[in-house]
Amino acid sequence: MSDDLLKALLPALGIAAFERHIDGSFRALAPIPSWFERLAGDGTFPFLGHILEEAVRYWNKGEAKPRDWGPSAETDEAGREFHYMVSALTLAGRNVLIFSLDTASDRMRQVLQRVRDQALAAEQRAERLKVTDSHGGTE
Amino acid sequence: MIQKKICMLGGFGVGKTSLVSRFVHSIFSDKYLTTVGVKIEKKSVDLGSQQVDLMVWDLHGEDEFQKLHMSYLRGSSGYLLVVDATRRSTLDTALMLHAKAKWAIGEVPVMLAINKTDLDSTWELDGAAMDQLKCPVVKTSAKTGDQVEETFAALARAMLDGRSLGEGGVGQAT
Repeated sequence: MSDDLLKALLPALGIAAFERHIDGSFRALAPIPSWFERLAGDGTFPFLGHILEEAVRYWNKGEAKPRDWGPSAETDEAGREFHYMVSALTLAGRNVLIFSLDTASDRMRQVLQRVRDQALAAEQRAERLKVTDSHGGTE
Repeated sequence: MIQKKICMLGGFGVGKTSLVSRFVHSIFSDKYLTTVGVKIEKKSVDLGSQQVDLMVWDLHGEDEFQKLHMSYLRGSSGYLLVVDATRRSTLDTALMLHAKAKWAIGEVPVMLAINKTDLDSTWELDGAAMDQLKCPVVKTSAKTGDQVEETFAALARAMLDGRSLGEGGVGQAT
């Protein structure tokens, strides 16, 4: 794949990819998608701080299988929640860190929401019954 | 500026995200929206003599579908256990998470928030649970905002001092 195609493809897929250099600095492999720019815009990026230590350990070990972190939830300009994953991998001896939108988590959230709504209602019903019983069924 | 990390721990639907929204954005929604993964919010808190930037890690609720990644607790200076005043079972989840967290990051300041006190409580904290918790307990309402700021401020102060909070705690503690 040509560099030009890669530079167009990654932001089109909503992927922010960085190569980590020996001195610890990172270089973007393609233009950064807007969701990621917004995320890192204020100079603080706690989730990155959390994973970086583990990512460096992963690269130093030279493991073949990529390592993933997440999902991490964020809110877009319109107040909608979205999720992203972070992956560390080594490609042709180069250490790469990838931030990608995670639509699977968005879908999983919808499913979990239904399941938990039902579980919550069932638990609350059971608690109310317990209270009624403890009051001799007078409530 | 001093930065400190706080984690929110508890079962699903206890109001962790609502407490964070109330604390950080001063908003509350009655609609329950489950959290997937982790959501990180930031808020600067003025503690009188010191200003501290709190990084609040709102971790997904623990249940059979999502287990907590204990690695998320790494670097945390304290955590807030949250239970639901209308569901006694959420205390058991909190006790289990408390034990796991202590094992993962050791003794750090921790508080237990009995949330949703705007609703009728269906249970009371018993002595056995208090013995396991060994931390201050506070009754909060993300809906009304009652004791929310105070709870985060008390936890932040303890984290800055690097001390464990004894039993007792902020106002209205049980």
